[in-house]
Amino acid sequence: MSSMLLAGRSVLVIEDDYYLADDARQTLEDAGASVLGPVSSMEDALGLLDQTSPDCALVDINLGAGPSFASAQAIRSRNIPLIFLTGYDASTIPSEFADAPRLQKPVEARKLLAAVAALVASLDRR
Amino acid sequence: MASDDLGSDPEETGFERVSTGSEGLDDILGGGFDPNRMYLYEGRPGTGKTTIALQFLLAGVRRGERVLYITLSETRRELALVAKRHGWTLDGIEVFELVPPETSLDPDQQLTILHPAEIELSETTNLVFEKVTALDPSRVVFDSLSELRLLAQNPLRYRRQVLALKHFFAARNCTVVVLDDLSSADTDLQLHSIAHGVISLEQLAIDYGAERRRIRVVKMRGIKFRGGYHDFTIRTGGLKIFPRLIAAEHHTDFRGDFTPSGNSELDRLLGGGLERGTNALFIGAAGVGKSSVALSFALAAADRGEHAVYFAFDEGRGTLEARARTLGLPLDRAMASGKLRFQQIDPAELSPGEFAANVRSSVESDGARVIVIDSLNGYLAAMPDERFLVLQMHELLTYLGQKGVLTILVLAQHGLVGPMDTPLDISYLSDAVVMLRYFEVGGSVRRALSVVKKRSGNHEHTIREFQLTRSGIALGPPLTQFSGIFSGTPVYRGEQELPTIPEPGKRG
Repeated sequence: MSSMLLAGRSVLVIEDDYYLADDARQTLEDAGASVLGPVSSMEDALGLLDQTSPDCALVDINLGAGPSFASAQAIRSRNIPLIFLTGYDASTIPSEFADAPRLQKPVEARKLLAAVAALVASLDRR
Repeated sequence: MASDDLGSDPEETGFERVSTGSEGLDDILGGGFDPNRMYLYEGRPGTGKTTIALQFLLAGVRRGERVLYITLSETRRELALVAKRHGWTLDGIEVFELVPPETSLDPDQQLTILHPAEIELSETTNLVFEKVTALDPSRVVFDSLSELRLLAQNPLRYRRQVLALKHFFAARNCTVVVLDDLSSADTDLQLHSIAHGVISLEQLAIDYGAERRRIRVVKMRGIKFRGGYHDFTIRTGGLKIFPRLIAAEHHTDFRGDFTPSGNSELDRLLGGGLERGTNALFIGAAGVGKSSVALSFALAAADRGEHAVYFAFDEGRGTLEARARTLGLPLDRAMASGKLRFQQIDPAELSPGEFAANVRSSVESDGARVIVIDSLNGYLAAMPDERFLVLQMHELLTYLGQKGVLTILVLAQHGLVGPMDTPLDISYLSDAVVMLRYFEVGGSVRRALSVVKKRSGNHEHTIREFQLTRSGIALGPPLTQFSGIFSGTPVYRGEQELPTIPEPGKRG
């Protein structure tokens, strides 16, 4: 039952740490979601977004060159809800994204699932 | 009385305090009692009231004061035994055994049973008054009110007697500690309102391990005290109280420079290293090398001449020594020079407050600059409730941060590969998170390390293979083929062999 929590959903994963990205992918796929990526750069993320529109996105704030919100902005502009993956404090996140859920790295599988499921559920209510 | 003559009334100036005879309790009270007041120590039998009350009197004896122990329950011999167990004598303490007449079986002392209880009670208190007037002590312990309560038979008369005692003592230069063993069915809040201060002692049985004792100042008029529960143990020599750590009280200036790991590649991966005054969480599966990496940080500190302490919850010294030998790390030398202290902790025996006090003394007395806690899983086992673990750890880490200490926390995850289960959500407390993982190449299992998070400064966003070699920890170059396969398959697909790991440079 819970394994199909995210059946039919697609989630874009932007994360440059291989292990964390792969953990997220596996966790999401186990819950029935299809994963776009994982990608480790903004360019790759934008490339994927041009081709397809995921239900939601997991976004790492720092892809190696310090905090960046360009891909988050691109995702927002497409009206796709997102969750931040970060090791930073809340203060790093610009106010325009203050409402976006934030998960501390490294993320627990069940927390990740809970956050994605909550986001997807709020999508259904729209 | 306890104060030296300062030429002004200490009650007015308020800076002269009376030591409670317990360093920990004095600390909690910010110096001790206000003189010439009546205090209540309450706690069930066996919580340590008599011991800490004797400490109060002995502190007076050391200052050459006259002190009096009035006992309605314990005999002088019983008290002498308590004292002996702690390596004390009752010399200098006047013990006044006041066995209430109607409880005495001695026919000479036995009063006629027709005496109304009112008279017996006031006779008891009158005997106390006479004794105190004759001796004129500056410290008195009254053991215990429970006996008085029994004599009084009803709350009104009991309260009247306690008030009589209070007023009698208030007119004298005398600091009084009354004991109550909480034997009455309901908690005696009246007593709380009569006493100038109330200190509660508790003993808790936990599911496994030694009992936990804790002390709390319930009330203390006019004194700013450290609230909440403080763990304590009873040892030879009295109560050892561990005042609850309040990080905000401790700050020293320090430079937030790097604390090298002894391995330049590892430092590079960490964006220069781990800074002083921060903490790092090393997570990974069992056996992946967390402790070895943590140990190399501690040994590098010892090599630099700094003091490092390794708190081991899970392993004995032998395991650590064997590990150090495998890695060619100079553990013996560091331990012999005293620069590295290894302390094994038995979580079943140690309360978190005692652990915190231990950490504190290694910083404040021994000047520790690097502290390793291996592991949080073991520490978790010591705590019945995870919420408190996180709160206590938060306070401890903040304290260590304020002191400029680098703290390394080791946390074992469940599982070997794939998404791992972390038993404790503490990463938000950590300034840096280093993840150690196994990976598989061509049927052999290897180890990799990456920095998942670092609050201050940047860090490498790469995964590096590492090996535990005979000459320490060796890091390979970034595993680029890993990050190249983000489109899918979770295996290492480098066309060429794994990059070889250079022998680590000279340590230190």
